[in-house]
Amino acid sequence: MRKILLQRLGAALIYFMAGAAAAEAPAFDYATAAKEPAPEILSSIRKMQDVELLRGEFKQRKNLKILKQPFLSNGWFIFSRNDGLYWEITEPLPGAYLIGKKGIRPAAGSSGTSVDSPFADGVGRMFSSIMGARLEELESYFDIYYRSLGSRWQLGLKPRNSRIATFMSGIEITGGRYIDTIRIVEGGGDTTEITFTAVTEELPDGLASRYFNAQQ
Amino acid sequence: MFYGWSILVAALLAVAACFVLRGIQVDTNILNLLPGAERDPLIVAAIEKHSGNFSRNVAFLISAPTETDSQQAALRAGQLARESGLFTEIMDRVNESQGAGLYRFYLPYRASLLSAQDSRLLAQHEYGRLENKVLNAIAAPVPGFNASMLEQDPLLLYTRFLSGFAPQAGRLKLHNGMLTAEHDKFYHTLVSAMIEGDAFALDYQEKFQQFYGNLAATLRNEYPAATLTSVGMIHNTTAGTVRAKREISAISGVSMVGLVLLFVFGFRSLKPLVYALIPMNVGIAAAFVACIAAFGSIHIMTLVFGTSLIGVCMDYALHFFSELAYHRPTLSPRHCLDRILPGMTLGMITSVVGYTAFYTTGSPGLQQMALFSSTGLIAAYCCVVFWFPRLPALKTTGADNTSAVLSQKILAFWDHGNKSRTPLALAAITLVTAVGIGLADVDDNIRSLDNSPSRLHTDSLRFQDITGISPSSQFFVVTGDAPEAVLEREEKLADSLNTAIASGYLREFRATSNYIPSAARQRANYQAARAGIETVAAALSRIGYQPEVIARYRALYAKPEPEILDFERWHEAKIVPDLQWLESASGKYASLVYLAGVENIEPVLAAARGMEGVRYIDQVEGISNALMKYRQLTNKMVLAAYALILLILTWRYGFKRAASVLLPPLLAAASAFALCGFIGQPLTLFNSLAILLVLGLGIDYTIFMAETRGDRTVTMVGILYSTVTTVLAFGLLAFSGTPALKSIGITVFCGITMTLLLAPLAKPDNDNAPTMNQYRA
Repeated sequence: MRKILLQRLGAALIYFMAGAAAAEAPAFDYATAAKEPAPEILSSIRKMQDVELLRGEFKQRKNLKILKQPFLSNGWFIFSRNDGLYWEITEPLPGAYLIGKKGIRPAAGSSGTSVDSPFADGVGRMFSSIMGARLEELESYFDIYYRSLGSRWQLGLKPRNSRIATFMSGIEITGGRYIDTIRIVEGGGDTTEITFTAVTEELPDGLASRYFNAQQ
Repeated sequence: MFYGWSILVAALLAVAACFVLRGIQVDTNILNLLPGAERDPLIVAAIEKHSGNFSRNVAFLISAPTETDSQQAALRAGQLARESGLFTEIMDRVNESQGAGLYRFYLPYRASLLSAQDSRLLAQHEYGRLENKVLNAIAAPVPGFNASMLEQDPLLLYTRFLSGFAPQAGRLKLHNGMLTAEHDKFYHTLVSAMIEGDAFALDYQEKFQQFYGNLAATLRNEYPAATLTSVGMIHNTTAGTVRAKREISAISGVSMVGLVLLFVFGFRSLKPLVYALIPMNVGIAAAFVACIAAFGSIHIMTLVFGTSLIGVCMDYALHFFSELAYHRPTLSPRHCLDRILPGMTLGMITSVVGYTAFYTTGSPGLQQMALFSSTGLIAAYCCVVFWFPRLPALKTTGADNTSAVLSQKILAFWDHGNKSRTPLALAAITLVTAVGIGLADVDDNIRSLDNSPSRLHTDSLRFQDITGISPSSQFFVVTGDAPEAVLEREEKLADSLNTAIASGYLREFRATSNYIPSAARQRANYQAARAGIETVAAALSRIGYQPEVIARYRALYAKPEPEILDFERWHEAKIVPDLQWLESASGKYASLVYLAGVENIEPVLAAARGMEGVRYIDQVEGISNALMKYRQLTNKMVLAAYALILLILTWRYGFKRAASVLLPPLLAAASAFALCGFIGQPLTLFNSLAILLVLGLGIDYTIFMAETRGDRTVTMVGILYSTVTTVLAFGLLAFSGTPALKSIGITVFCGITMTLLLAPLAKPDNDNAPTMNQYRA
């Protein structure tokens, strides 16, 4: 029990870290977006929610002011509606993570070091909700704005909660059948853009369970 | 003599009153009973600090089907706790300003602050691994930090130093600023606090109970879906008080009624009861004064058992009144006293001499008990001898026949014409006793003495199951003459504990040096980082940092010596709750290093063995060991006391009769152990202490039997009365729900009843049993 007493210190710290940066408005134009989803957006999101398994590749581009150039990385992922997200970075440095309800942690046996991030857990859960297009879960943290782009759609997430707002000013998600890009606008104008390619529901038998069950 | 003794008693009472007014120190630490118990006051203080922390902690876990409900209800609970004013350190939601303060506090010293792992990596020039950590962190799909943090801390060294402050709280994760776990489709949120009061204080317990009832009711009303589970010592002490109150009213009620009935039927008057209490109370006062004068304080166990032992003197009075009742008006009080005086005197001497064995043990507990009981007995003896002949007249005309008849039957059983009956009966009893003792188990685990209701036990298991947090009783105490020495020693210990964690022997530990590294360690950290500055700068450039970020990092290490965060400054800033650090009055320092998730303690201890100023403490094991040693010691001393008594009796009666006087209490004591074996009640220290009581009382029974000339039924009636009083006073404890008291009760009940039944064995061989008719007249 006493550990918890000490825990409060660490926890307090997190909020300082969270508060260390100012928020900035993302590029998504919230003013013209709808607060209620158009039926076609809703139906394609519902379809996404039914997806059991998904595999694809990703490219991540981080634009951080303190870096001279954008930081690029890429890899592949498996998303499982039940088990969460397996995320493997292949370049520039190999590492793999499991992201889900229990937060984010390095996958067993991967060379990825643990994420020394105080908000990894909360953000991990959020990330997993985004990949599964689980609007209900997202709604407890964000106001969601909708925009139709023909056969495609865009969501803008604005933190409802001042705690989240201190380190993240918004998230933009673009998709069609599946999610194409996620753009996280952090404090100070830094952004993280993740682009998905070669996304498919076709997975060799047992592939998903190999990655998720290995973690049990 | 009457007046002389009266003046002495008056003086005694005056001294006792002075002691009470000045304030008495009652020692409740069971470890202090042992010879060679912890003498180092610093270690004792550290253990007390731990016990204080432990007993003040209380946790509320609020469970609900949704996270929102669980957290909202938890916030409400936190609010109620704050409003009650009964708690400090209430932690429901994290306080942001406190965290910001922490970050700012350490920031100026960050050049010399490193996590244990980074400290090692830098010392071993593992710059590549540090670089990879940064790359990993930036590449990770979720942001763990933001740019302004990397700006101040491009290698993430300071971030990792600070994240060492947040150990994993079992399965609880921080979400929305609250510690929450998901388990079995429910969300559980923790609110923890320290009680602002003493968990053992009755008035605090009452307030707490009121608060808790109110909290449960409020949550039931406002959050019907939420359930409340709470753990903490305060729940156990409160439940203990409730149970004790119930038991005391039930057991002492029965006991009082029984005593009154005994006197009303036995002596047709309550006056003897009142008179009988006089020597006992004078005895207790004398014993108390002697103990305080000799030891300066008194141990709670001395008080409990010493008082019981002095209860023997109640028996002197009972014998006196039995004589008086059966011989009135033929015998004057003076003559009655003369009849019982030899038995009384010998009984008193044997007991006092018997206890001398205890002085040799070096056990403060047993020594106190011996002094307490001896002094008390002598004083009570003097009261009977000097005061009773002068008592105002008693109207105890006639005596009840039932006790006489019963006494006769017991006497007649052993005084039967059949020569083989006695050896046969004894053989049978011995055999049964031997079997019972063979079946008896020994249990010294302090946890077995825990009498908490099963509801609390279930709650604490549920709490541990959900949160993965269990109360810790294992810790190291690190001592030193100055804070710096303690911190340096702690760091040495921490290095070995980190190795143990890597080997899976341990999940984590908490040390003060996590928060304030020693000055030596800070210097070493700084120099290690400074030595690698060129390599690190190249790595930072490879990662892609802007030149000004790298320049700022270099500037941190410009000076040849770092700015040291000194202990005093840190301590005054009260960065962590003051739970692990203490300073003794003599200017020495100690810190508690807590262990959690211990899988295998042996390698951990082996690694720490021989480290200067480092001591390992396991509270549960320590107390259990103390109980075991104390039990064994008590058993030995009981045997030694028997041996001494045998010597005195041999001097008076010759060996054969001395043995026959000693046999009944000895056999009775053994049979009490045997009963525990038969009913599956494990033997504890408390059985052994109760055996002491059986011996102290029992030897008097047989001595009175042996000293009586002719009229043995009256003696037997006196013994019968003392048996009934003893059973009423202690035997009824057998029905207690408190394991320690139950052990005492069963042992005394069985032991003293058996002594009564066996007492006639002590009578002289050549004596004829008196007949019933003598008393009918």
